[in-house]
Amino acid sequence: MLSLIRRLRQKGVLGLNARNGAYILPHNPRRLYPLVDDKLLTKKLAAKAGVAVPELYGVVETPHQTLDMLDKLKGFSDFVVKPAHGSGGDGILVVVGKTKRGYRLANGTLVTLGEIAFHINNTLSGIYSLGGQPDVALIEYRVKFDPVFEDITYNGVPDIRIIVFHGVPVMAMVRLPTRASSGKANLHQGAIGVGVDMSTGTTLKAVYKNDIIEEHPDTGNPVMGVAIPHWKRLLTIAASSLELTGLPYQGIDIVLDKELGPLVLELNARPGLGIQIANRTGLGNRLEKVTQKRQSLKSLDERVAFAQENFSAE
Amino acid sequence: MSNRHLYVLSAFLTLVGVGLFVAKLMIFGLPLTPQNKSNLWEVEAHLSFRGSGGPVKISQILAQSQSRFSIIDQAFVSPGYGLTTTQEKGQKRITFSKRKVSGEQNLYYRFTVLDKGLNKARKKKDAPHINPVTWQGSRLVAAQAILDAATVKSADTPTLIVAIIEQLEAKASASHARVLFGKQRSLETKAEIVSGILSLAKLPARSVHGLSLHRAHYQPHFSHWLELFDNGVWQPYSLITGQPTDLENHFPWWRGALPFVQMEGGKRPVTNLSVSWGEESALLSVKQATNDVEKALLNVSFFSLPLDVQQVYRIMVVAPLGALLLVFLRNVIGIGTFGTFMPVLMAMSFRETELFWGILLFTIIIGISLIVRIYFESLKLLVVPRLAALLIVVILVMAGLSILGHKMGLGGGLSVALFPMVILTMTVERISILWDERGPAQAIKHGISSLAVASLCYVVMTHDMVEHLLFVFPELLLVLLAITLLLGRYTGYRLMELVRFRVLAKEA
Repeated sequence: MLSLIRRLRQKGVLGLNARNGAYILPHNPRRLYPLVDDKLLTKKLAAKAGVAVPELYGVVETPHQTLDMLDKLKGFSDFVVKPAHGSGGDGILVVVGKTKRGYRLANGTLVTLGEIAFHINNTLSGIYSLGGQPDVALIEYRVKFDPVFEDITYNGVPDIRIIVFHGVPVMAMVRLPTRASSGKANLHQGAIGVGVDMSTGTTLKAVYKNDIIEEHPDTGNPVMGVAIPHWKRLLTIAASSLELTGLPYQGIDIVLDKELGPLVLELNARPGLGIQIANRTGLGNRLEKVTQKRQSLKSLDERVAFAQENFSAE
Repeated sequence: MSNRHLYVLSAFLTLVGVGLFVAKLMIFGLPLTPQNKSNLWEVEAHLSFRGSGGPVKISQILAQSQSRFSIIDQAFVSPGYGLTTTQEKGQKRITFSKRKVSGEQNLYYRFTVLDKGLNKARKKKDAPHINPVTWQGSRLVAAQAILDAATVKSADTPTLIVAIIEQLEAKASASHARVLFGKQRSLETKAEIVSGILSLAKLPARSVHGLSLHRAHYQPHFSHWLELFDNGVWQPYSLITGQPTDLENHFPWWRGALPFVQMEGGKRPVTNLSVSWGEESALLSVKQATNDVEKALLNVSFFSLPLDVQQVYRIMVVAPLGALLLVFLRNVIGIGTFGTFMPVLMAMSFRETELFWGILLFTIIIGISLIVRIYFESLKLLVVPRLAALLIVVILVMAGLSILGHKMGLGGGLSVALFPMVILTMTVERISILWDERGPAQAIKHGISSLAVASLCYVVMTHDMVEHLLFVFPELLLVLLAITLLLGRYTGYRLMELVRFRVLAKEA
């Protein structure tokens, strides 16, 4: 066991205690958390900074606004309902189309407008928010994802998670929904995490339920060697997230839209550690490198270049 | 941020804690282990009432030494009251009096009982005189009728007692029983009635009122039994079965029909009793504190507090250890539980139910409530009303279990009332959400690990040694605080993470 600990240390694998005690608590000021915990606030900040986000169709803050919103929604055939304070992808309703009998969801089921209203009201009462606090519901543009991941995605929107430390993108992974994750892109819900070579933006081997795999379990297509388009732009967006929220340690979730390119979905002040398994390397050593050099890394371009130079897969 | 500040703080806390601990150990010789041989009991009667501005006289019966039990120390806490002792029918009474009394009043009477054990070779006594019967009119007739009916159905004195008790409960003589009992059908009046009827039969009998001396008492109350003079000794009889009993650890407080409390002038008198098993040497040394330093040192203990408060702290002081254990299990081992402190609170309620019953009742409550919760899911209730409804369901299930347990004569069922209902409700809610999102396997796994952690906390928290050390030396809590603070900066791997990340170590 001791040699296991030593080898994990050597690889710089970060545990939850180390992530919280050595990075999040000392670096991330608590007062900045609302900026990332509230997706409405994050969206506004991003829009102000000129970072592309999925277009906001509307916000429901009180139950009586629900009916007006439903009226407005009749004009759209697809949209996404999400809680502003949701976590772990819970409470997100993805409507992909309208039929005579109702609205079709991403997982294929049909719902009525009434059921959508019930979902919105549940969101408002805080069912999906951290600590059960009353919440607001956001209704926004449904991303038409880039066909690059089409063959290795099952029913859902794949996204790219990048961990950023002091404005330097340190590690990235592509999260691919599976049948088990029911279209969601969160690892603990059964999505696949695929490591990414930071210098080129091509995918590495993948992790599925803590095991390393090479093919998508549902589609059977290889997940390795896929080149992510707009990679440099993705890194630049990730690096600029420091200026966006001021949080030195955060995770940024970006989706690739077919027409609109990279869109920022959300930011996370406590990003998970599964990304290390996806990349088969620890975060600790990379974070340490950034700590040593961060005084000399001022501009956005410098930080992106530093990431591409130092964090390529060996 | 450097950790030096934390290390200094922890070292300081440990130093103070251990220093006080060693000082108390050296100066007073407080015992390190619980003294199981101690046969001292501390009894406290807490009398509370409301004054209405005028004079108040309130009296209660004092405990007296007798063959098996000796009263070795008595004390009264009654600020501003005059105290007089009187004698009535062989029982001593203490009377508290004050000219002007208003508002809530609290009087304490505390004494220490030494249990000398059953004296095998008891000296035979001469037959006592039989108590004169005080009943008149209809009550006398009713008593005579019950005696007559019971005499027919009995052969000797022991069977007569059984028959009298049966007659008091029997339908045929219900009207007689009603006349005798009046409005108060309690065990206390039953004791008077049975002893009265026996006196009517010219048998020397008397009612006894006392306390059972047990460790781990939640809320002790008076118990009542009967004594019959037979073959030179007073033999106790149970009032429930009528059988002669060997009343283990029952301390007789007073005998005969006397009101425990008598009051003139006040309102709503309430008596609260508490019994605690004495820490003998600890108590003895309290008296030895001579100079100011020693007195100050002894103030760092719970012994100066009223007994009922002491009892509360006995339970509270072990909670920090449970919390520390929880920190260790979560942050060093990496076991997930429902709610941060749920297992500690569950462990505390297991103290009353015992572990087996605790786990069984917990599982039943959670199981039934979870089924209702899953049904609620289909009703599409909003969050707050749903939680409130769930709380009501949890309480209903608890009440149902208590009633069922009582009917079946299982003591464990009653103490279910001490389960933290809000914690249970939140646990049901969390389990059901996890059930929905991660599947039943995850939810059950989490539930079992929560229960296992609670059981572990229970085992540690109820250990005699642990309770003794933390209660007698509360300064050790400072050491626990220091360890907890240090664990707060533990940034190493959790044991479970080694399993999770082991694939990363495999590759060179």
